[in-house]
Amino acid sequence: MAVPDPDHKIINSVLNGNVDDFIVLVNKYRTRVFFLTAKRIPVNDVEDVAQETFIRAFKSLDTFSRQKPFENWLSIITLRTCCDYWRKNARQKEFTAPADDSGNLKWLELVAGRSASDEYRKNVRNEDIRELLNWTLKKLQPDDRSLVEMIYFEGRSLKEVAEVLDWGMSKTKVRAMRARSKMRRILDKLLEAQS
Amino acid sequence: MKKSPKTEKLENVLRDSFNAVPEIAVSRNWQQELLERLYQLKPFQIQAKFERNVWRFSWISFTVSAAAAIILALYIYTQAGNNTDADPDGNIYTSLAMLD
Repeated sequence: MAVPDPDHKIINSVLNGNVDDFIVLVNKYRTRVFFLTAKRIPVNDVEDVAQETFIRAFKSLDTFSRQKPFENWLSIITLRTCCDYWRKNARQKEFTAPADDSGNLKWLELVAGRSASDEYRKNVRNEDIRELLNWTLKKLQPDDRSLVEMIYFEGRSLKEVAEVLDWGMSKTKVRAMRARSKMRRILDKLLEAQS
Repeated sequence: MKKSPKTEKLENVLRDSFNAVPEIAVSRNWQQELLERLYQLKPFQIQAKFERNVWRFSWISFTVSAAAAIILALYIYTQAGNNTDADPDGNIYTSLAMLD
């Protein structure tokens, strides 16, 4: 006999009007939501996006089908909220363009050079790499950014990503390939500019 | 697309950086703010709104069906009236004679 999911009991209670019980779910899955959000969103906005995620989950709690674990459902909402954040803020958030600041990019050779396998970890500051990461992703369209993050950085399946973006499989596959090519072109140009 | 080893290496470094999550210190008010926002929403209110919409839809359907039934009844009634007045044989000459 299948063991009843304890989350379902809490969800029923919340739907019956016990709002406080939702905090039990918040506390249980907060780490997961913050983990997914912090990877994608600038530090200053992580709390807001995480809060927005829980609000969305709360609003659509009655649509939770209970066929999948609550955590998976919540993860999809988190990823969608992050995608929406970039769709909304793509034009507003500005990051320093490393190409404009070539003096500070000597470490690029260290990172990409053949001789330095793991040496960059010792010599290059994480902040610099993070800055380059943000700059590169910023160059992509919001949806391309989400695709690169989910498929190539996190290794999620196409099926999962298609569900998050609410796209068909073939569209997701084609767009993912294009997004990766675009990112590679950006990195190629950057490396060419440095050499 | 042709892969450049340098680009690939850089891509791997960026992937590592993406997956190395910075530590986030959640502010003390975060949960309280969330709770306050949740209280303003209340999913059971949303459910109630859904139920209200269902009732509204039911009433509209009922009204439309009732109106259709009345129109149909009137139509049948008028047709029945016409049939008693009209020439039962459908003879055009008889009908014309009646007009005279």
